[in-house]
Amino acid sequence: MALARVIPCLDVDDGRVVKGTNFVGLRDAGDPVELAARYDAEGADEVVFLDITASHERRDTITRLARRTADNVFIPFVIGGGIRSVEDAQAVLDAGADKVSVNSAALERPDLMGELAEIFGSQCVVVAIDAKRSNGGWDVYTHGGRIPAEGR
Amino acid sequence: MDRDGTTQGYELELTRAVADAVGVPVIASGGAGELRHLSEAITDGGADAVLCASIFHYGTYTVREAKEHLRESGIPVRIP
Repeated sequence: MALARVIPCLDVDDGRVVKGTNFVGLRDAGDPVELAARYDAEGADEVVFLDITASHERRDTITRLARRTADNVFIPFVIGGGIRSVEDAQAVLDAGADKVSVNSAALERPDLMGELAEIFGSQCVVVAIDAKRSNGGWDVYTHGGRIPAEGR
Repeated sequence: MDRDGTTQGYELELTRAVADAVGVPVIASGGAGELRHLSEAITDGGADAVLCASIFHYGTYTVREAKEHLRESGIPVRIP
């Protein structure tokens, strides 16, 4: 059996860690790099940053976060949120992220996953699935849990 | 999503369904509140990894405590 991994996930809005219940009611929970460094020291196997920033500057914000993290955190880190293209993935990987996590774009254009795996290697591509119980099965949602995915 | 932030435990049925359906590593996510939820996700849910937010951010448990629990449950982990 491979070693089980424990992965703290940090939801980041405009450079700060937030965590809500069922995606609403966010509370401020600190500096993402400080928290990630603490989890690294405690023995986390990786950390995930899920960028929920809505502003137009999100790519700048998240690449800045990736660079700061790469300088301070020595376990692999994953960036998700707003990764919609090879270029988006390239930007955060170039900034020091080890993996990208894709959600909405993987449902809208499944070929993107293959393209990312081809270019960067499958080990650095993660798909995140937001599922919600419905009539004895599950429905998949995109855009931070706001929009039901089609074709289920 | 129904479990996200609730600390009621992961959706084990869904985790198991995904783990049985795919050949890539599966990360259980959404709902961790107790240490036993983490070991359940691996033993019952078939997950390769557990993702947690609230329990660590608010200091309920440390990552080390989580890993010590997994090890005590017979699940191999890296404890540096």
